[in-house]
Amino acid sequence: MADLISKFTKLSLKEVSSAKDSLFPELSAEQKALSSQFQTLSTRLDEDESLIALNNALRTQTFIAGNVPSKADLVVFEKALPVASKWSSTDDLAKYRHIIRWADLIQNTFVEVPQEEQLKVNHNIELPREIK
Amino acid sequence: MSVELYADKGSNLSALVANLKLSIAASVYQPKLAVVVPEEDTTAVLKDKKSGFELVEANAAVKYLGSDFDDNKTALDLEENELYKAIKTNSAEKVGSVKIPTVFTKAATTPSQIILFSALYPALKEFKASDSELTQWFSDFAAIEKVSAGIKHALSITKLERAKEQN
Repeated sequence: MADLISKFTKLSLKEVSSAKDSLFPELSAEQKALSSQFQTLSTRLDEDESLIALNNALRTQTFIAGNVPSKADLVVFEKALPVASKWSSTDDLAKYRHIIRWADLIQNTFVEVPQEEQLKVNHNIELPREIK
Repeated sequence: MSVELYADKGSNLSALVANLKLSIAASVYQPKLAVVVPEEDTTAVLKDKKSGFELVEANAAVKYLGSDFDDNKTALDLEENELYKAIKTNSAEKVGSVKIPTVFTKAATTPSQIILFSALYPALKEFKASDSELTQWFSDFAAIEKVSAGIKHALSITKLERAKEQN
């Protein structure tokens, strides 16, 4: 995994939708299902339940499809970035903390985001303990 | 397979459509698996009790059960965008007003046909097969034995609220 990440040439936001699945490891049926599910839900990020489902999944897994990166990370990231960039209250940052962690990982490893559009993550902010 | 499928306990069109998708997919791909109404509140639609794997979105569950994740992108895009928004309004009339091109010419139990059929069910269930190519496909699909068993099951587990009468 570390090898894939270190050798990956970041894609621009414009290239995300045309990225090939073959850039990433082959997915199992379960991973394909998760990938498909979150690509569908990424078209509904105006609905709280979609964001909650995404945040809950990312609580226990590093990437959208589990513990391997996939094209779904890029597709969902493209849709989630403008939404996450608007979160500024402690409540939102706490509620969607796992989406923020994941989005920061994606913009640091797989997608080249212009400086002014990058998700600004304040690592020093004190968030309330998570209630699971 | 240690998978369980859970119905949407809602009483709106979204719940009916989700329950149709799951019930038809179960009937077609896993006949021994029935969609059950969960006793507790859960967001999962599919859960593997052994591995803990779960899905919360019905289309992904249909594709997973059918082991086919992108068999007709046009149909899936149509369902997941325009039809989804119309279904959320809880108006069968709005669902019927979405323009649907001829996506399928022959009825077959693929995940994308199950998904599109279920989304169109609230609007097309009263139409005659001869009305258009779309209603012909819809009618042919509904007549497939495993599909009709799935529809029957979905209707039995969904308590739809009566549409308010318009003055």
